[in-house]
Amino acid sequence: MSLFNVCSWWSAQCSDPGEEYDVASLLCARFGLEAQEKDYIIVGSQTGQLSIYYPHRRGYDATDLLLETQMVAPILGLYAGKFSGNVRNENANQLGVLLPNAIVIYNVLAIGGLAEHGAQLRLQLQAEHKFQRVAFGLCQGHFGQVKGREFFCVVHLDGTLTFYEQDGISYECRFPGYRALPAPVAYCERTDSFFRFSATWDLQCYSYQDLSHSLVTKSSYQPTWTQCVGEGIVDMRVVQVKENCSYIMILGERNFISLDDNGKFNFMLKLDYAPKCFHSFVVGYYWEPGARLITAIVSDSSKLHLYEEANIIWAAQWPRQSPAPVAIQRSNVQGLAGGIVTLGAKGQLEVGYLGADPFQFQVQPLNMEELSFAQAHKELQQLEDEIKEAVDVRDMDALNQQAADQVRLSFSIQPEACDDLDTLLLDVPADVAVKELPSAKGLLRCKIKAELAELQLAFQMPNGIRCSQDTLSFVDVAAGSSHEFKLDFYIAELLHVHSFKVELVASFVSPRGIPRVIQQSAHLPLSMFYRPCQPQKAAGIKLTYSITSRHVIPKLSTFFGEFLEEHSDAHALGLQLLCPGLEKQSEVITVVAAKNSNRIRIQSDYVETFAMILERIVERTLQLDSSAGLIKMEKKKPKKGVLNRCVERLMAAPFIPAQPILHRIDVHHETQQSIRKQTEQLEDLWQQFKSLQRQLQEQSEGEPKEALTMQIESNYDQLILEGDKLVEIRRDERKQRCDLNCAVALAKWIIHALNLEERVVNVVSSVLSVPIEDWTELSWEESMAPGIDMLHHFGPLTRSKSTSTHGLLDANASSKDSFDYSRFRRHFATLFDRIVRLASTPAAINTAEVTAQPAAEEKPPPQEQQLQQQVDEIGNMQRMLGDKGLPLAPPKRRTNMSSSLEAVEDDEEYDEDDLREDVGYRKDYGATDEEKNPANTKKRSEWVNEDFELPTTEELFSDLGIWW
Amino acid sequence: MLKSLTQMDGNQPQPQLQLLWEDKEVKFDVPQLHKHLRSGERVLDYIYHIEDSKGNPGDTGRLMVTNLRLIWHSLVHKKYNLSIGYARIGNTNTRMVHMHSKGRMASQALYILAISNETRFEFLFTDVSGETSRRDQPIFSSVFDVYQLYQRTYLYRDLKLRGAIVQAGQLVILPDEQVFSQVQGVWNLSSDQGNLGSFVVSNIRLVWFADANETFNISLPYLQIESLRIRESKYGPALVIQTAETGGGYVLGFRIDPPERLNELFKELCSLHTIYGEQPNFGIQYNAQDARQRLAAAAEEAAQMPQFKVENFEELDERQEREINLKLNSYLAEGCLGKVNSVNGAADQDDREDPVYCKELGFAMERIRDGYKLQDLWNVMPTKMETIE
Repeated sequence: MSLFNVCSWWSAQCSDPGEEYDVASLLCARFGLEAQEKDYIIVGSQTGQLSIYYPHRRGYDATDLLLETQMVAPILGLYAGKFSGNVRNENANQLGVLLPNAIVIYNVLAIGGLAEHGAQLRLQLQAEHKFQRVAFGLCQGHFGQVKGREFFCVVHLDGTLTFYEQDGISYECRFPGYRALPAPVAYCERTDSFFRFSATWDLQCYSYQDLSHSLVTKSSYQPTWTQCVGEGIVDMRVVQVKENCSYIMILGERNFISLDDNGKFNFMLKLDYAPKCFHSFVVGYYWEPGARLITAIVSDSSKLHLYEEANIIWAAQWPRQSPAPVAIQRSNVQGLAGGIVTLGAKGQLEVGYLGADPFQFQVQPLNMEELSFAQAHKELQQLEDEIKEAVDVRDMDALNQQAADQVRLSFSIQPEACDDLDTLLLDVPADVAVKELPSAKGLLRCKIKAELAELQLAFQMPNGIRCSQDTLSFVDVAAGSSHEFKLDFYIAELLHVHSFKVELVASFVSPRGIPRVIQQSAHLPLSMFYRPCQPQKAAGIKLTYSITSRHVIPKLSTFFGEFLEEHSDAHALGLQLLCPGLEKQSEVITVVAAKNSNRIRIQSDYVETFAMILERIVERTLQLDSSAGLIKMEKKKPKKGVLNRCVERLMAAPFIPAQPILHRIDVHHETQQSIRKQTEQLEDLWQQFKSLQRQLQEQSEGEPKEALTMQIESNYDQLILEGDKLVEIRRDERKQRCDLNCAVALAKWIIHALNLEERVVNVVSSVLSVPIEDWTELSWEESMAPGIDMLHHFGPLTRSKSTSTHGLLDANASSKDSFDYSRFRRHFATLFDRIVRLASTPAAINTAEVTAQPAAEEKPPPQEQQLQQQVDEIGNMQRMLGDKGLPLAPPKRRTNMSSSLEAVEDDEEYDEDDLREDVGYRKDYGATDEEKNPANTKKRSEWVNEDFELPTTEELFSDLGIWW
Repeated sequence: MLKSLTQMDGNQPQPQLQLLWEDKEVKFDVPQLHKHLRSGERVLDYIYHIEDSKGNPGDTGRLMVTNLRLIWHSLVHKKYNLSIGYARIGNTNTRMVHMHSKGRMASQALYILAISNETRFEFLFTDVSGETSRRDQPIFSSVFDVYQLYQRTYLYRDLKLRGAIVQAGQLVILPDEQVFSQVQGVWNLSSDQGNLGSFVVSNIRLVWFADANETFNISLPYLQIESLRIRESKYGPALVIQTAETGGGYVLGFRIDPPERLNELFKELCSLHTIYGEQPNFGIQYNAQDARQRLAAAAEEAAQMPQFKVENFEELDERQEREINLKLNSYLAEGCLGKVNSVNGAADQDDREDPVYCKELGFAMERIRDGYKLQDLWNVMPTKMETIE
């Protein structure tokens, strides 16, 4: 197939150059004015301009316009036919002009002149039928197969039909069905029936007899047949192709469809373009053999496709590239038989013909210099370099450095909280404003060193905190410009906050389209969230950290300077959470520093109070240590078996308050469940609401409506009630999510400082990422389940040795099942359990020994023995970790471990039992620890996977996208 | 109708109006083009830092938006310039292009497709100022505005017959139009029995419309009048107006009684025609400053949310079918030869053969050269359906 041209033969611009024309604006017809008459082209615009053209020859002459007049209303359609009986001339057609509120029938009269410019046309009003309803379209034909006359019916916007049969006689009729949307209606003379495209995308056929009967008797009737077309349609047309058959040609939005008049599909052709308009016609006479059905379809891209039935036989392109025509007709104008008459949306009227030269895109030859290879090569190289530079990500550090050079950010938050927040200006909710919580002031300076196409600065804060500036975006930033923003950070919701870190993400696109992202973070002052209070002696959850770094003084003032006076020697600090600040309970956390050792104990009854305190301790320790600059935290990929480097600075006692954390998860899960239930209930009520509404619609006018109205009202009340409940539950859910955030963050910070293999810490930390996220389809639990499951079966935390195949099967099985919460919870609990055990192993043995023989032999040898054992232990552990070649951990570490033993003596002021036990909840899981050595090792071999060389571990984790 | 051609006394030859070509042609490199504007032609807007990317890449120039055409001239080389008449413009739009120089920065460009003498010209005027702020500003808006105004003001420049210019017996007055006189009882001599109507004489045009049928009318701008005379006709002395070639070259005859009134009107028309010739009004009223302010105000509202627009970016699609069968190749080659010949013979559209009705396709079609069939052109590749059989 080739593509050819459509050549222009005659063209004119209709007098309104606006976008005022559509598929119904064009009509080619004869009026029977002279003997050798050819087609007139009539155009009616939506502004009411009616023009009649009569092309005489190639090219437009001023005399080709025969009449132009301005109607009082928009023209919805133009029709020609024998609409009137009182006409002398048998061949004469009348012109019907459909306006929104009337159909006007004109006789067209011609008065000849001596010259072409002397001829004139007149429109003589024959009849005007006014409607009560606004018109949508018109359908004409020899209804009832009358001869010599044409009737028409007007389709109104409400879907009713008005028939005009004889002059001045009209009937009104409705199609069956409840919702009659206005839809195109076509008439088929052969079967004397009407086709209507219904709102349900069905093509329905109604016999004229049924319709006209219903006019008289008001009886109900059904379509003769219905056929589903399955898509919206652009246009529809009925063509008689044989003596005994008519085709309904339908141009759908994606398909070209043909049905015969019995509703049988003739063909359905999928179009690979967006169609705009079409015209179907028969070449030859339908009562003779050899008549062929031809269809011309115009595509959105100004191409004309000709089909014989469903086979494409020609394709041509309008060379002007102008927007595609909105209407097409085939017409015999004077001097051109079979002209292609098209009308553009802006009134470009054209008569064209098919060109025999293939379509070629012709551009005038340019006076350009000869392309030199060397130069082109150089240019290509340059381009490639540019591209390479933009997409090369091998050296991320350099890229980030470069990005940071381009946009220099300095983001800081004042370490003091302040109280002068303008709550009105910042639109803080009343329940928060009333608490007069402290806020923080920040400052952001950014200097832009290179020109940027787009720059976006976004702040990321924990839930409940808001910044006075939302996301900042800039377009076309000039190089050298600098901005400074004063920021206010404040609490906008009474929620538990899990972190006091604010992240600033600057993403920008250079003029060449290269995207870069840089990040900076700053910390909000803790005094925004806590206020000092009396320390508590006892508490439910107790955690211990040992500061092992030499550069950090293990004093409270190191960590919580803002709450203590300078050089204060206080050993205990009580802090009370300000937010949410419930009246019933005051959430107090107590931090105690050991007098003689490097340990810090944190204790509270509430899980939510811990996250920020732990974050402060860990971050501050690491920060002070690295600023002392002795050990650098290189960002190397952790090797297998390398111990958590964090431990060199501080170490947490191996205890995770698993029960309270799991409790938070339980609560969160329950709320998720109830949200689901509530949504389902709402859905049911909504369905009920819809069906009641439909019943109301469908009820005929005479029936009483009271019962139905009552039903609707009660249903509506219930709908509102349940909706309010859902809102309430969602609010709860948000609170619980924040609580859970705090709980998960707590676990994360403990694990961060546990004496574990570094990659274990990394994996677990990445699994326990905060803030947690709930999606409508997937709750946090469900999204976490596969990850936890994997941790359960594979990797360093695996329980049994022969897991690889078994575990895989298990994982597959579980992925098929729906989410099993109890299983998830179990796994979560065991995960914590194992981490604690793994981390406490070396210490645990020591503790066991010490507790076994403490009082009896309190002399140095055991110390040595202990040391000996410790070496053994570490050797053991190394073996356990499966990396025999690895050098032993530095000796310093060993002493640290032993010092954790000595620390037992320190904290006598506080609950001694607790200290001996290390921490509270241990008892629940600690059964194995109580037992003696031989048993211990046996047990250990059960749950510690001695052989980490699982074949699939690495791949599995990398497949899961967990950072290893 | 106009049998006797005896010239009446007092008929001086009319001053010939300068032929209006500016809006109807595309011209290249006319010396001093931008300095020689036509009388009545006004520059409505200048757009600086514009390059003609197709013809003269690398030259910075400026666009002049006049009321008749678009002029681009290079500020680097004096002889390079372009003149594009509005009547020849087929399609215009703006697009984002990536400049050849200046680091392939994206910048705005005005695309124009013009068709003159059956030749398609494509122009691309690119903003080479390099200012990123201009990228999102509608710097070419005046071109579109003026072009639209040009399309809407054809009554100032073109003859219109039987148009919708009269409503309820009153002529619809154009902006800037002043009616000088109205003459009733004017017979239009274009038909046997004659049509009685009225003249309306204004500073721009002469309008006649029939009393009985207001859609039968003539709106004739002075621009399209080639000559005005009073001649003897079989109906007595008549006002004869010859329209210009661009106005169809019609001869219009009108009779007004008594002859004194005719003479009076004739004198009035002659002087108006002369005055118009000196200071023609092409009907386009445009104030670039105002328009800019309007745009700026509108942009301010819209600019609250800068957004990415898909339509500003052109999708590159270079899939064009290149496979052509042998027969079609030779057909094409012959076609080219034919074209070369016809160019030599200085032929244009009159020379072209008339289209004929093609029964296979059901539409009018250009005649296919002897020895070829429709199928030869269409079936470039053997259809698979046939080979299966």
